[in-house]
Amino acid sequence: MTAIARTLPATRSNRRLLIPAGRIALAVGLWFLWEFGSYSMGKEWLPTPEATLVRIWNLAASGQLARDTWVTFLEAALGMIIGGVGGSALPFVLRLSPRLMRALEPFLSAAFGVPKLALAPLFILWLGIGMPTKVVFVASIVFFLMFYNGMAGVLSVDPRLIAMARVAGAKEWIITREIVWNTTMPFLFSGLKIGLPRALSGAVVGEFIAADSGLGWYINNARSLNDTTGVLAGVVVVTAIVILVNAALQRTQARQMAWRPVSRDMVV
Amino acid sequence: MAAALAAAHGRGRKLGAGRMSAASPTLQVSGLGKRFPPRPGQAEAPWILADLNFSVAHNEFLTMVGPSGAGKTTLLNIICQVDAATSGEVNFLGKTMKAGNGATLKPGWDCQIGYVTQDDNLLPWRSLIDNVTFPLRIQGKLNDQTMERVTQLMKVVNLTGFERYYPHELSGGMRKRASLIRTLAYDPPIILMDEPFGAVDAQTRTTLQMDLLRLWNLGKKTIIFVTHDIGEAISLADRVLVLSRSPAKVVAEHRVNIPRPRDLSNVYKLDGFGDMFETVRKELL
Repeated sequence: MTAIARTLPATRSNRRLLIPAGRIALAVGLWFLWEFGSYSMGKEWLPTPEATLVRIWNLAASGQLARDTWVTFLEAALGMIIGGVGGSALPFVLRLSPRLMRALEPFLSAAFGVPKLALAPLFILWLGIGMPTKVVFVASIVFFLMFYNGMAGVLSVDPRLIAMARVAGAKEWIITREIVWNTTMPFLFSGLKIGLPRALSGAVVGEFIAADSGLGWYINNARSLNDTTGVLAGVVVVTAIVILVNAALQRTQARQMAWRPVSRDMVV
Repeated sequence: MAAALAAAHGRGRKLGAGRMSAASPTLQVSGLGKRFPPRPGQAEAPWILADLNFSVAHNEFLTMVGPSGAGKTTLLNIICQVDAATSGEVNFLGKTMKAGNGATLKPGWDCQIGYVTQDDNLLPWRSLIDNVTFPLRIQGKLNDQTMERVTQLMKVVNLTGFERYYPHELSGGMRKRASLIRTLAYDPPIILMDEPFGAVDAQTRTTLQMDLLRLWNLGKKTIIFVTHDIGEAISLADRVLVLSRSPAKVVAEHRVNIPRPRDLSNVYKLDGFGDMFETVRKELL
């Protein structure tokens, strides 16, 4: 009995360490897998992790990393804001008019189905190869992600809460702000969770097609020079940005939704 | 506790201001009927309420007892204009709500009718105190005086200390009490109650009923209280209406002459309670 009691706290703290330890082990394992792949395939085909990190270091030292990252980040952020705000706001507007909602529905489904990448040549024709093209491209992707998530949220509002608020004297804008907004927020966060990485990769893909700067341009340029190290360096940087943005999002979400009984969102 | 109640209700209201005569109804329901749109494959939907007539006097405590599924909730929804009537009308303070399609509904008659629903309907993203003050806040009436009143009400129903908790962290009974005082806090002249104590245990229920009677007695308020519990209907009421199975009709009316204040912990021994219980029970069969 006492022996068990003595071992219990130790076991618990061991358990707490288990997850970070596992993560480190997995990271080291992946690193060795990368090394192994690199040696078995040949460094020209798959550069080593060290070579990739050295390239990133050099890019950072020359200032090119900051420039390209900034361009890509700005495109993704502007597209995210324009598409995200539009896509999130539309469900709130449509809630006020069920008729408009039903009228627009087939058009929105059709627009969602249009492959945005196929429209890229047209965007370039209209807007040139500068930043606006990529911003519009990103916005067109993010808009629908946020719209469909927001719509699911708006449709899940509890009508009994609305009736309660109306009886208590709430006007329509208070119902929107208090009840519809708070019900929809978790849905918008899951939209952001998918939308933010999509926005970044959208900007990168946009730069593949036509650009003179940005991480996508760098990756594409490296590819055309058979510079595999450059390609990998670019991919690693993009991935790092996605991880950082996701972590920031997760913090905001945890703060905004402390009221929820349990976090029903995936941790990853 | 009585002192706290008196403090909570003393302001702005003359105690014992005397009841108006029962001849001047505050709220009158005439020929009220309701049916919902028919389901696919159904030629005509059944009537939930049919030709319902009754009135409530100023400061009266009216209870309505009826079997489950009699349309009690539907009736309350119509009275406070959450739902539209199919026929008939409701008159209240010189205003009329006629049957219609619901386009012109004014839920709560401009905050004149409060509604304690069967579900607590607390906002899950708001703390307990924010939920209780929600009507006051949106009506722009949240000030030191009303906040004092809220604090007193919280004390009366034993919720002090739980102000910062979210609804999901509280028990069902606590949420129920919170939803009750949310309506009492903004003090509408008529309060509709839909089986407000259905989900709490017997002891808590008796305590809440006594609290309610005390609040009512001090605040002089009109209450329409719906329940399927015959004992509750009789022990609280000035007058009991017995409703039939759907479509709901008033099948009997009883004036309860048990003197107030009533000791609800011993309600079965009160004079005349047993006979009336038996009568109502037979009428409900």
